[in-house]
Amino acid sequence: MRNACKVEIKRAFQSTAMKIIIIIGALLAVWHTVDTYKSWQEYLQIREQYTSPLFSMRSLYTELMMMNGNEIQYVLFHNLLPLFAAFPFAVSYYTDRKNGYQKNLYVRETRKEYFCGKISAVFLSGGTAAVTPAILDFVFLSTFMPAVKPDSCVMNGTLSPAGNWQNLFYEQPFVYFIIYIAIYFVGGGILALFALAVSRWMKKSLLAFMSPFLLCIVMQLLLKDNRGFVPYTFLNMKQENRFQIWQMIVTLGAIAGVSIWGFLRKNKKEEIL
Amino acid sequence: MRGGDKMDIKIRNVTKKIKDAIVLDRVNMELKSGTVYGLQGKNGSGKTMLLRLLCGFILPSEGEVEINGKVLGKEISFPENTGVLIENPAFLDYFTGYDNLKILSEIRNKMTEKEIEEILEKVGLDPNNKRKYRKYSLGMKQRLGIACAFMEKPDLILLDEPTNALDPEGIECLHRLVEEAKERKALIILACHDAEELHQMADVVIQMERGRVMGG
Repeated sequence: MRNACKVEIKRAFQSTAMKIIIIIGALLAVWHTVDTYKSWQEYLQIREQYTSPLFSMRSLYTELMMMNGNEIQYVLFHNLLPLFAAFPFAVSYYTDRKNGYQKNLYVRETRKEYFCGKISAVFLSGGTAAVTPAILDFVFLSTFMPAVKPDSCVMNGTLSPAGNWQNLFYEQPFVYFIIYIAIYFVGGGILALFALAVSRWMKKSLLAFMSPFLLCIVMQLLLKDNRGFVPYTFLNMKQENRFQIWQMIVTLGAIAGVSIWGFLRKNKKEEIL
Repeated sequence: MRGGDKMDIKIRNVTKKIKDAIVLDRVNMELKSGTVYGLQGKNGSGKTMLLRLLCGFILPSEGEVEINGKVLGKEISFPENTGVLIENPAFLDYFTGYDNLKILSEIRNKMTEKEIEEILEKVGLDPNNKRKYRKYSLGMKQRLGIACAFMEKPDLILLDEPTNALDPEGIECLHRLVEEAKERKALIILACHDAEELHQMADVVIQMERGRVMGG
């Protein structure tokens, strides 16, 4: 079992799709870094001229792409996260089957080993693809932004008043960042699993690839009165809309459960023609 | 049709229907190790379907296939230790031939890097060639497929039209590999439309027509 997982994970992380999505994530982070650097330089010039206490120090943690709701990169990152997660390996079951590569695998491992390997690889590669722009943005910005504690008096780029883990954000912002990277990772991985499950049932790989994105949109539209259950609500470091932690756990658990069940459910004696 | 004792396959009254078409019709066979069986027949006679059945890729609509006493599709999903080349070979486009075999060999971890290099050389491919699989010619792809089928010294080898796209040198490599596998008592089944090639390699030739075994 371990070898089968190892091989699938290797395929996922060495695939061209993974390299492409890492590059796209890096470009997004670089774009945001360049924009932030320009505004940071302007800010420093203004700060030299004015010594008012209203000009509190801008923090690395309030300038992150994931925190600045006014920026295009924030919109792109959060809205495209499901696509980022699905891109590397989520439709690999479909392509293995279509091009006949599955035959090479089934004569070397059991179906159970193949499916477990596939689920592990899709989850890990999806999570990695989701967090790459966020981590790179943090690394690039930290080269010139001070990693000071955010100021609760500053309105821009901070946590919403109803956000969870308020104390952590203002007292231990790095810990808050790590928690959210973990949430993005798990959320991205689970959304990728959803695409994997859809690819087992659909004959069109594009639909499978788009399915996590469509799922998030549909949930956003249908759950207007229960936004806490919408992935776009809790997969957002800024926490623009209120949610309870249990709502996030239930939603992610439900999507994961349905995805894994849907992937495994299809007739285990499926034929390879 | 009898041979050695490592692999024992019994096909009992197998019929396979796909939608309304009968692709295999009351097939009965006993196949033993150390023998090369050749399947001969026109296109659509059921040769490839029979190979798929023996791999476990399809299940019979009626009847059963028993491999070493275990029923395929019930007690086992796929026969153990099998090498296959069915239809076109399929590998990962952005890896070299060597890397493709290496990834597959890591599943069972039975091969060293040197053994991978040796099998590539045996099929006439250069293990140090950095060309990616997507840039391979048809002949090279076929050779890689053959290498993959033989590489882990399987007990059961199923080859569907293995001489497709091969030049005479490639066919010679295939003959050598079949001989080596036969010497170590593997059970080899090849489907080939080229009667001359089939008679050269196979100990027993089985005629198929419209999903039925006509003789052998």
